[in-house]
Order: sequence, then C-alpha cells, then structure tokens
Amino acid sequence: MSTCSRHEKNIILLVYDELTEVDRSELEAHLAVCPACRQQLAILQTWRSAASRFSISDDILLPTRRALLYKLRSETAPKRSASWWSITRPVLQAGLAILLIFFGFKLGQLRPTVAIDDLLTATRAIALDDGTISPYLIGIDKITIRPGEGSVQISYNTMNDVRIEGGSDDPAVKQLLTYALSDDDISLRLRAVKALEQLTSFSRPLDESYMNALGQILAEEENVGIKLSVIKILATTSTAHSQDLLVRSMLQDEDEAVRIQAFKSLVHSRRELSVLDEVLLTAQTDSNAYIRTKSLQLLMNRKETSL
Amino acid sequence: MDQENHIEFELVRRAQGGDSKAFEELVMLSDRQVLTLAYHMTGNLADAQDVYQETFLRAFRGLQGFRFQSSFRTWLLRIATNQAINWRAKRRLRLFSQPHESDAEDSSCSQFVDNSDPSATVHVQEILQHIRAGMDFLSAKERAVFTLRHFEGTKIKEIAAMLGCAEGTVKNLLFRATKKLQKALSFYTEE
Ligand SMILES: [Zn+2]
Repeated sequence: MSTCSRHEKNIILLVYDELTEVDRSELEAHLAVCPACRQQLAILQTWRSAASRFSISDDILLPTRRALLYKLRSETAPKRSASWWSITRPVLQAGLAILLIFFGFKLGQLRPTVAIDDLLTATRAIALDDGTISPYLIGIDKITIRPGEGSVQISYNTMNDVRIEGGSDDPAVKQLLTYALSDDDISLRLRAVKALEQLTSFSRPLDESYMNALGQILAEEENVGIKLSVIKILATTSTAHSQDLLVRSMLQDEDEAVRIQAFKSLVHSRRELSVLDEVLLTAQTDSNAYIRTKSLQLLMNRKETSL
Repeated sequence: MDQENHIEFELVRRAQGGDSKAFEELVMLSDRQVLTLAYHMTGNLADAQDVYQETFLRAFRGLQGFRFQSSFRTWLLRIATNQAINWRAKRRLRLFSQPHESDAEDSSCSQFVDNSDPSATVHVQEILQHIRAGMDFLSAKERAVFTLRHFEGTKIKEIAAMLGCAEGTVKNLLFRATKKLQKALSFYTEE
C-alpha cells in the first residue's frame, strides 16, 4: 500500500487537470496495475462531475440580485449632509459655525476613502521557497502590547499565519492597526486603540492614516471607552488634525464623558491654542455643568492675565 | 488580454468614473459565481445572500482600489472569499452568544441541481448533499480552497494569487480538504 500513498496526491491533481505530463504518465502506469487507486480516481471523478451539475437557478439569483441593486442605488443616491451636523443642540451651531471657519472642516469628508486592495493586503511580503508573496489579510487574531516598549506584536491571519512586531511607524503595523481600528469586533478595536495609546508615548506623532482612522472612530464608535482612549491619544499628539478632532468631539459628541475629556485635553494642552477663546465661549452653551463652569473660569483668568 | 477581460476592464473604468450602470453590468456578469462561492462557503442560502451582498458593496466602495493587476473576477472572488471566512468566524461568535437562534440549514441541495438530464439527478444530489455536509468538517482555509477549485473551477495557480499564498500551500489545503471530505463521506455511505 505504501506505493499507493505516494500517488494519493497526484490522483487528486489528475482529477482537477493540474498534473504535469511527467507525473501524469507515472501515475497512469501505476493506475494500470492498481485497482484500489483506480477506484479512488473513479470516486473523485464522480465528485467532480456532480459539481459541474451544481447551479444556482434564476429563481434564487434574480431576487438576490434585485435586493443588491436596490441597495447599491440607495448608496449612490445623493447623501444627506453629514450626520453629525444634524445634532440636536442648535445653540451650539452658531459657535460651531465660527469654529468651522477657523478650522476649515470639510463636511461630508469625514469618512476616509479606503482602497480595498490596500486595506486587505498585508504589506509585508513573505519569502517562500517558490517565491515571495504578499499575503492577503483575512483577519487579525491578536494584538499583544508590550508594556514599557515602543512596539506591539500583531498576529494576523492570511492563508499563512503570520506574526509581526514593530512600532507605529512600521508600514505593516500601521496597516494592521488601522484595519483593526475599524473591525466589527469591539474587543479588537479596543485592543488596537490601547496598543496605539502605548505606542504614541514612544514614537513620533501619528501620521494621517492613523488620524483618519481615529477620526472615523470618533464619528462612528458607540463604545465610550474606546472614544475616551482615542481622546487620550489625540491629547498627546499636537498636530492641527488632532486639534480639529478634539474640538469636534467637544462640540458634537453625544456623550458627556467624551466632551469633558476632549475639553480638558484642549484647555490643558501646553501648545498655544489659537482658537482657545472661541472654544471657551462655545463651551458655555454646553449642557454639561462642569464644562460650562470650567470654561467660564478659564475665560475670566484669560481676561485677567491679558489686562 | 482576452475579450472577456477587455469588456470587464472597460466596465470597471466606467464604474470608477462614476457610471453606476456600468457597475450593475459588472454585477450581472459575475454575481452567479459569487453567490455560488458564498453558498458553498457558508453552507446555507440566507447567509450566502448576506455574503453576496456584502461582497458587492465592498467592491463598489473599494472600486477605486482596483488596479487592473488581476481580472475583475479574481479580485471579486478574493473579496468574497474573505467575506465568507470572516462571516463564519463572526457567526460562531453570534451562535455562541445566542444559543436559541435556529441553525436549521437546508442541506437537501435539490434546488441547486441542474435538472436538464434527469437520469443521474438523484445520484448527483446525493453526492452534493454529502459533500455539503462534509464541508462543515473543513477549516475555513480548506473550505475556501476546495470551493474555489472544486465548485468554481479556479486553477491552483490563480487561487494562490487570489489568496496570497504559495501554490504548495493551496495544494496541501486541497489534499487535506479532499481527505477530510472522503472520511466524512464514508461515514454517510456506510450507514
Ligand atoms: Zn495504488
């Protein structure tokens, strides 16, 4: 039987017409003398011909297609103006308008457009015996944070299992973390944010791709804990973009804890905030008493020092 | 470039330029294959329809990322495979958290057999049904490779490019899948 096991794989390849000429003639010689392997071949051939009879009928396909086309058409229909603009706190909108002028927000451009190829192909190529491949990202298994170090370890899944380790500047880490930030799995999003929080204390400021992902979380995330972590990350990053995002959260977020955290990050930042007065003025229309009192206090202080 | 690819690429270019009718044409050219793949990957029609829809929505949103380096079909099946694998992982979680959800699957397969030649239909149905049941014993990767090769007729080389792995990996997954299926099938046929 040991000679048969040698041919086992080639029988499968033969069924799928994937056998080389040399292997094929070798296998055929064996088949001529081995009834067991002939039977195995016959079984797999019936499988193959059964598969060719499989078909999805129009009765099933057409309604499925109609549902899709309906959905696609609703996607391409003109979008209502960005949802966060329709907040139910109209008092704020005047202040918001001032800030919009200052920061030059672009409504409706909140969601970054992502290219699927970029999103789903892990950038780190893997060298194999028969060449180098760019693994196609199926999902992320695990993000391991190394306390006290400027790197994280990410185990991810392609057709091959891969694990990488690196800092926030590493292109593969960047791609995997931004992917994880928008994953449907809440525990993975939380883990990614925590990893980023750790990394920002070691690395240079986060670049645009991270910022876009963080902005998207602030706009769409339902979990307050995750949003608070994002605010913390932004507080340590002193770019115009991070400032924009903080101001926007302070004005627009529905959760008080998030608004307070964003407010604190803005007023406590060491950098000179050009629009601090406007931020403080607008803050006084907030429904939250802490934000109102604190902003008033700060406004008074500022007036005293400028006199 | 063959004629089929040429037509597809032209449609993709138009769709990238904002012509939504062109994208609808691309859907009609390829959606039977996507639904077939989704059905074999998920094991039931309702979920296959979800994966089907999600695949095309993602393709639509990510169309600017298509760079004409592969055929549109390869690109699409790649997204579909990925969706189906992710879908199964999520479904496991869902079933775990909602144990009462009915998991009844239609495994009769009879509605999917082309009846133009009634003579062999019963036997074909039986085989398809057994393979369908056996697929549950495969890992997500084995199921993906087996579905692509066995039901979609995708060449091993193309599968490797589609899934970003070595041809040897694809072959091994196909061997493992076939072996597992045969083991599962012998269980059914010996009763
Ligand atoms: Zn033999």
